[in-house]
Amino acid sequence: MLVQSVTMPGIRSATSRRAFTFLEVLACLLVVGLGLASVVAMVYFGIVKSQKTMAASTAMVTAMTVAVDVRPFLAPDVALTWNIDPRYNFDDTTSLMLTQKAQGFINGYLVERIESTTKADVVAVDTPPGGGNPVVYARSVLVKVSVYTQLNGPIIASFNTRFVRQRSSP
Amino acid sequence: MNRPGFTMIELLVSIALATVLTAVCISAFQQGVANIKRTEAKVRMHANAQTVYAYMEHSLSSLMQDTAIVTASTQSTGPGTGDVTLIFMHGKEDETDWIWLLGQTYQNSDLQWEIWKWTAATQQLSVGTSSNNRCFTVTSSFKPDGYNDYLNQTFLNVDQPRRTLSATNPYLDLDSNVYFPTSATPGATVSAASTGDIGDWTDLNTNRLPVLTSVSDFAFQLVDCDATYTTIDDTATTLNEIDGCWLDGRIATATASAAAPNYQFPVMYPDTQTYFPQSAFAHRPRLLRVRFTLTDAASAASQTFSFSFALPGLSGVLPPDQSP
Repeated sequence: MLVQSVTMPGIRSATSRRAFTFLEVLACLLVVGLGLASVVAMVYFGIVKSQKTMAASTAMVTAMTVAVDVRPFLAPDVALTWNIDPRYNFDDTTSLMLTQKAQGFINGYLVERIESTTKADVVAVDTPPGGGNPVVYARSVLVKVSVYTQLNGPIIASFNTRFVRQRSSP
Repeated sequence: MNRPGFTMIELLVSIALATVLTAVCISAFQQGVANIKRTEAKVRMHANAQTVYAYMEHSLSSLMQDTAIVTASTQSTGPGTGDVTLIFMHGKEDETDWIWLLGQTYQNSDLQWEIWKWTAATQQLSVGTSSNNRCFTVTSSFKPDGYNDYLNQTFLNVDQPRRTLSATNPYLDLDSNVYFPTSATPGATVSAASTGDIGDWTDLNTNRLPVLTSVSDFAFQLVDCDATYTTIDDTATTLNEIDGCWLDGRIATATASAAAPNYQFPVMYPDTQTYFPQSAFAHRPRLLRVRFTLTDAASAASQTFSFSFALPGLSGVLPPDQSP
């Protein structure tokens, strides 16, 4: 019996189906590549955002640490990065505001510490009784600490504090 | 048949492009996953470090300024195998905050001994606080008035912030049960430690629980007011004990005797150079520096944290390079 093939309207037969051209395949690969690149970019965007979140978590306590201590107990690999300006003269009896700057890496951050001091208490202690050269016994201190993610990076935390520093020996 | 299709070259080029794309994406994905794990580990480390900071800040901000302090470290078979210990007392003792009941006065105190201990073998940092009172039973005959024997009687004794500890074994001195210490007499030990005691060395260690794991390194520095400092880490076996002192600066040392107690007032006339340096406070710890390293084995990430805490008391630690 002769079976007649039936062709549905709108459907081409296998023999007449047209294959993809090379150009179409390349275009398809380009689209797929762009899609994958977008996914990868989003992943990295998420990582960067997470890192920024991480950066903010201990930045403030790091600033508070450096505010009270100009020379923290650093790991050996970052200790050499810690740079402190030459000491100021504790015994300066003028009313000048003396400053000292320290900078270095700590806890994964770049930290800058600026300390400004002025005389707060001057006592004549050299030759008792009631004479001698005046010696500064205490200095009023203002400390400002700024925390950055990296060199020339954005500031992520800042802390200011004031205290009185007393001399520990004559 | 004349069916349209790829030539061999086109097919090879297509496969090559698809392979390169797949390889690049897989590589980027793997790097992304590794970075995510590393970032996750770092975030966890920073969170843990902040927890340690908050815990330590809470304890040290209420540090009893006149407390005795014990630092110890051991090194068993080389660096990274020992442990580091810090013991101090925090809280407050308010002599005016008392209650009167049935003819007796009761002093209120929330003083607690606190121990921080890092053990290299387990990489654990643990913290413990003692009970806020000391309760002990007299285990041997004790007749302070010559008549009544307090044997087998139990006493509640508030913690004393100024406790002079033995340099040879200060830990066991925390077990000494002192009977009614006064300002004139530091007090007499009336009973050895027993298992039922509350607030003693055993009690302190029973309450010690780990607060952090994967701590691969831990060390601290105690900085005195005169900027001298002591480093305590596990590179050497050390044991240091800093006696407590009275709030007015008096201090008792091992050379004290009943005839000449040396917890007298120091010379503190402002017109002499002994105004401050001779004060006991000049040689009290003023700053605590802590350094520890957290590691994550899965992502091979590590981060070293450094924190400093200003201890209560007179201000004025000069940095070492500013020491006169």
